[in-house]
Amino acid sequence: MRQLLPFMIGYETYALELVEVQEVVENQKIYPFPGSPEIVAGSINFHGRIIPVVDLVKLLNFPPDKRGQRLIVLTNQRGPVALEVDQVQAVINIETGLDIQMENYTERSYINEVINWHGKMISLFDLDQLQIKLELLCTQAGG
Amino acid sequence: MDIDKFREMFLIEAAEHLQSMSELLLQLDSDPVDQDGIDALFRDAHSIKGMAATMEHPETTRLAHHLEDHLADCRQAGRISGFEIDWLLEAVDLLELLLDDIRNERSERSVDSFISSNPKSPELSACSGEEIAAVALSVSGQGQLIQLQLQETVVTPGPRFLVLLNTLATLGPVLESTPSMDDLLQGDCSHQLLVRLESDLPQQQIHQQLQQYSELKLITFPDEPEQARPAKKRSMDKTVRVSTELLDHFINLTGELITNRYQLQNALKESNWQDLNEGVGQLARLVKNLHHQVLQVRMVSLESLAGRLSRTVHDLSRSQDKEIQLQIEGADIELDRAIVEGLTDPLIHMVRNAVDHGIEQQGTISIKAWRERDLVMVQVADDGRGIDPEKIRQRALEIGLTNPLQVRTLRNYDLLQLICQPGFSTAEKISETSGRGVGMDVVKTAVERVGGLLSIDSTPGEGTQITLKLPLSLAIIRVLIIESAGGSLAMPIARVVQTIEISPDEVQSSGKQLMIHYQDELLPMLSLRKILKAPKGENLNPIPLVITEVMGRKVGLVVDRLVGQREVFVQRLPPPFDQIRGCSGGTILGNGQIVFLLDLQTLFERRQG
Repeated sequence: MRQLLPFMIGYETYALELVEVQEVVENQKIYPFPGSPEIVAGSINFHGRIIPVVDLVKLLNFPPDKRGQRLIVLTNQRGPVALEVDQVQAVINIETGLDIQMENYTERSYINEVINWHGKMISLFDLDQLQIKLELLCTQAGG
Repeated sequence: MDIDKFREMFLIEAAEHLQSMSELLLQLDSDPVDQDGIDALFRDAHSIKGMAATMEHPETTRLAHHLEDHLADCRQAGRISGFEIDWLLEAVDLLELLLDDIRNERSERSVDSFISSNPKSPELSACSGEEIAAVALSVSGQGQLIQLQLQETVVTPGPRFLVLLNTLATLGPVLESTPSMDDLLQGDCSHQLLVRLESDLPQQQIHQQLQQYSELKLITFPDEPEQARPAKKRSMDKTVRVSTELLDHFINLTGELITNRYQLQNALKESNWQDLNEGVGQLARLVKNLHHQVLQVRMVSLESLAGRLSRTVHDLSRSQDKEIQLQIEGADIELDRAIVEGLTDPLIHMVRNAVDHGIEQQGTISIKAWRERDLVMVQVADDGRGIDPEKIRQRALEIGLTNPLQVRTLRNYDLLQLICQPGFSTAEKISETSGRGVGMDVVKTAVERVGGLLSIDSTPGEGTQITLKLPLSLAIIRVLIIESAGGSLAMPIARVVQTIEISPDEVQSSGKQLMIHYQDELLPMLSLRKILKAPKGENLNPIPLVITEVMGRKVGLVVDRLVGQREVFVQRLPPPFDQIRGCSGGTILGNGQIVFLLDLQTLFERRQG
């Protein structure tokens, strides 16, 4: 069984594996920092740690949305880093191979697989691709 | 997992033995009959051999074994010749390279040619021939790489790959795989597997064997990625040795903190303000103490550098046939290990430059370190020919470094600092000796990267002194907090020359560039808002300025407001964000606000690059 945390960007529903998520926070002040790439909104003070925030709305080229800030803080294995999204929904449980149908989905970036959840399409967000992109951007902004 | 940990321990210990060996060899150079020294060398070589053999690094084992044999002979003879010392120093270098190979998970380079270069080797290799053959067998054939890719529809790639690995193992020993067996067992879920298989079977046959698995989408036999694999950074800061005494301190402090916590909880429950007040006071004391102890863990003395510098001087004076004395003072001064690490290369370059360009036939290089309040000063001085300011003036005009008028009027001291300008270097122009001399700009940048400042002083005919002003620690530093474009930023105090406020009338313009007078000098004015690409602010009167150095030149940085100084704990950004230029970390103030450390130097490097 897999547990997914669905979230909205624009009208699309994406999701992350719950094991990747440390916490969801909201209404945090984001402090911009000098030299940061455009998709990095800045950093938040997350329990005394400085954690960079990646603006997924901007990354995926959606128009900015003012529905309120939701930040998904990923586990320490992933940086740590926080992802800014439009809206976070309740966790869903998926029985492997039962009500899940995966397609090979390569045309669009940052998507691992697409899941058909009771007729609703949920795109599993590809964190590895994001990591590669960030490394590229940060070293470009660096060396 | 575990093997990585052991490898790390092996690498650290082996490096310590090598360090000890090179120090001993340098000592033996002046006292070649020192029995204790030769004994200690022998023990070091023996330890390396033992560890390398346990970790199954055959080439390292072989070389260490060879050294041990050789040193056993020296022990019997009771002396060691200068020639042997040089040969052994080379061996130490080669062992360091082998450790690099192991660290980067490359196959070890061969030590054959080196061993046969030993004048005594024929008889030695004869007696250990059997052993060598046995060792060679275990590494013969690097095996071939096979890349497997699963269909995307495979839900459980881990177990699939485990099955495939077992199948491959029937064709020959699997030397390594990425992800490794352990990773797969722990549920690594990539759809790709890279295997190094040692097999006599042709690729075609292996391909056939694998083809029966329908879930395999792709089977390829890629070329060696050896070159492409990024070398792991040589990092020493992964593990630290801490004295048990210090650890006991930590435990005691933790105990006191726990007591303190209950005390505070109680006081809170009973709304006992006096107890609460006392508790908080005690907490402050404990935290300060803890902070001090934690810093202690990160501190290392400059001693570790001294060995390498002696070695550099030894090698260079041999190869250039110069007589050079090296004096080191204050090697017991302690600095944050990150700073000491960052200083290694710049110091070696400075010493190298002193030998190459400073000292003509014989002379002294002295390296001095001392504390000056909460800063550490390190000075590299030679009594060589010194630098002729006129030559710098010519060169500066030649390459059009700054405007000619300014170059003509610069004072000698300021002229000297120009050496650190990028593009100035190619040291031949200043001194006639040919040099692989690394540009001083590189040295200066490296010093600035650890939060320091570099200045040069020199008198023709008397020598050159290069002085570094360094912070004690990278983690806790004094910063100047400034405001710009509605946000706060911090600059390390070591990088700030002065803060001043000037009236708009004092601003002069030279073409497009605004300039100000600062201590007989005309400095360009830079707007921080502009640098940060923020909208222009309102006109200020007076104008707050931070005098700082960018790319080796003093500039006046215009900010919105000077807030003040304070001591802060700097957090680096998590990777890969720590690569971003312009920001070298951040700190959280008491009110929860984040203030980032502005790194002007790298911000400008990026713009130029």
